[in-house]
Amino acid sequence: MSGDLGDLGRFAEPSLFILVSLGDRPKHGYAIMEDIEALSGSRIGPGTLYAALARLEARGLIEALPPQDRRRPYKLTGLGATTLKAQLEGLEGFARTGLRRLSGSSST
Amino acid sequence: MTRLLRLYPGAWRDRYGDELVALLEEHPATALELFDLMRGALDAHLHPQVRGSGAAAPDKEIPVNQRILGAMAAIGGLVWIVGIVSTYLLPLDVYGERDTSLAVWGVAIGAGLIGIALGELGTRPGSASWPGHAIAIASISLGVTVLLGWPWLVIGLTGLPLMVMLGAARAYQTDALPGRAVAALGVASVTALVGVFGFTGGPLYAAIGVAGLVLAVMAFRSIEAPPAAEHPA
Repeated sequence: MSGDLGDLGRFAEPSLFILVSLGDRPKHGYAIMEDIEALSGSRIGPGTLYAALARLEARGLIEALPPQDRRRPYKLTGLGATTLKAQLEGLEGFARTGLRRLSGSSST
Repeated sequence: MTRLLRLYPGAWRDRYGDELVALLEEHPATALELFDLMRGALDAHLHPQVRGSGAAAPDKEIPVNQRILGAMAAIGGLVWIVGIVSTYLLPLDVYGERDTSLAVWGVAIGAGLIGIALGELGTRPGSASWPGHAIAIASISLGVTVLLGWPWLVIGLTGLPLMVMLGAARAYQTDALPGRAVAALGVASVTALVGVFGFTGGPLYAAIGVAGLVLAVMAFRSIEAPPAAEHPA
């Protein structure tokens, strides 16, 4: 089990989107795709979606719930929520630093 | 659409197939998404995340370079066999002499195969600098063989069995190969050297072939059972 997304290579960004999407409530694959499109403005393909889901599930960051028809919802695990929080806080700090530097350079 | 799912490994389909089909029924894939699915299938083979027949546990994911090298070694082994058979059975004569026609290509491919397989052995712990050296020396010696002909042919064909011999010694040191495989490599390399200096092509090619196949088999075995010390890709 790993709480780091850094080893996911090209699936790191889709995985972060998925974790954010599952942040409020469990969702199945199609709902995650739609939500990510609404969140980020770009759509992730089904192959990428399920490759990322498989990685997140294998790392214990998400958990599959019992299927409804053939659609299976996923929810964040405790480790997934902790990981997402850490990732978002890191991004927030990064964005804050970048904006501060930008505003510093534009005022000189 | 469901035909695309057949590209995925069986264990993966068992786990995610139904829900992916349901998703694709709800949202038919565009051409770009079909390509994405094919990439996903390739990824599922290269980086198995689902436990099942033939699939590695996620925490024992096999490095992609090792899988590619192993596949190349296997392909090299098959081409080697075709080359050897062609040399003696088919009425082909690329360079004007049967013994140096397809055999030259066979030796070249065998060099790649053996270099790659040695590289596989070199991925074992404690031999970090070994794969690059083995591949470089095998490639140079056999490249010289193919491009320059006599007398470089002899130099190149000497280099290859020597590399096999060194590989056997290294495998013995690191316990990377079982004793019988080390013995087979030792006998093959000595036989090949005798073939070079005795100017008898048959034993030479056969011995190098045996060495290549032993190494290819070992490369495959390393794919099936990666050493515990290796880390996920």
